[in-house]
Amino acid sequence: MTTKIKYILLPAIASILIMACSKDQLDAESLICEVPVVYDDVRDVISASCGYTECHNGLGSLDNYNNFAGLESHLSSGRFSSRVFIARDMPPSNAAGATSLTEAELNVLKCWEQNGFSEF
Amino acid sequence: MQRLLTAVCFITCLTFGLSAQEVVYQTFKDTRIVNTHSIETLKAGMMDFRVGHRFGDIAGEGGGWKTLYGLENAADVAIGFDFGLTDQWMVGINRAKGAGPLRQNVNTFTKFRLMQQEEGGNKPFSITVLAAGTVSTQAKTPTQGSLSSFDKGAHRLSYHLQVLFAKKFSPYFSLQGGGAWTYRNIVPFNDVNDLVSVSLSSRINFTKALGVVLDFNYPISELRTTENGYYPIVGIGLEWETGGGHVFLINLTNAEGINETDYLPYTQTNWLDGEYRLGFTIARLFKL
Repeated sequence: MTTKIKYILLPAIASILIMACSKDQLDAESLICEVPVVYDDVRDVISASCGYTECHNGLGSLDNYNNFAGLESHLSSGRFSSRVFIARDMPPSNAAGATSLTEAELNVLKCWEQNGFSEF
Repeated sequence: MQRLLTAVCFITCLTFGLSAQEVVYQTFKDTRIVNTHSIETLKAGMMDFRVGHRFGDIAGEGGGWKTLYGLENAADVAIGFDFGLTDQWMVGINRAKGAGPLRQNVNTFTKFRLMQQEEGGNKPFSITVLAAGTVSTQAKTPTQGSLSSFDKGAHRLSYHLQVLFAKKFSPYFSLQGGGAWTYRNIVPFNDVNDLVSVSLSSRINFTKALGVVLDFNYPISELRTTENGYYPIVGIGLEWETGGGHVFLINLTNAEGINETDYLPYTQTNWLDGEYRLGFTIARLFKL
């Protein structure tokens, strides 16, 4: 019985090892999110880059980006992603506060997107 | 009379001959040390049900009172079965939560003992080889550029080969060394698919049932340096055989992942930053 198992198992393992091999690396532009990013991880970046005076601070007509509830509709509609990641016109270049995002800030936001813009 | 003397002489020689080449058992009590596999294999016809658990960081940013010293978090959990096919050959399968970028892992392995230590013979130590494979069963990440984007099915797979050498110096002290090669089909940008590592482990027994195990794994790679945020994997454990086939292993380690394809490439937690955790393994042997 054991010999029979041996003859079945060994070639099976060997074939899996040989056939299912690839030697791939992610592209340079690719982003690795090694830990799931949640709202707490991006709160400071968003507050500093979006939630300042005369912008998304909840005092004017714009949604308040200083809390998750204020962001939620723009996250689910895809508006946040399209302006921040694709058009890259937020924050705007004429803003009173931050006028652009650093690569690290952009990456943490992308990781948050990869994690489904999770609150917790 | 002469015939009797010859017989006595023959039996004496045989007895001495046998005792001079006595096989050495129980170099380690279990098939795992802390993180590393030991040279031990299950006996033929035995099934080992294993539950492994690694809690969250005890100290540091993620530890302390707010997480009850990591006890309220689970870094990794593995549940599986090992089987002894012959006295020298075993296979195993487990499902682990996973702690690295690839999760929901199904891990399989086969382990074969090539040589068993003999006392007084010409086999001064034991040699065991291990081959393991991991498949991540997590859902594809829709966004490109993540390890879990899985552009190819093969990207879900990673492999591990290891050769282990061990010697039981006395009933109270055993030492094991090993070399390993871990291969991931997909790696982050600027990383390499191959990863070579070495391991050193030891068991120090206080009584027949109670001992301490020490475990050290060191990935040899220019990329896996402390400057890049990677740390050697260090574990210390208390091994307690409670009788009736139970081995209870409680340990402290900086590794979050339980399986080799997880903790060897992805350990970024450091003992000195308080990023070590409590872990345990409960193993129950059944005779099939």
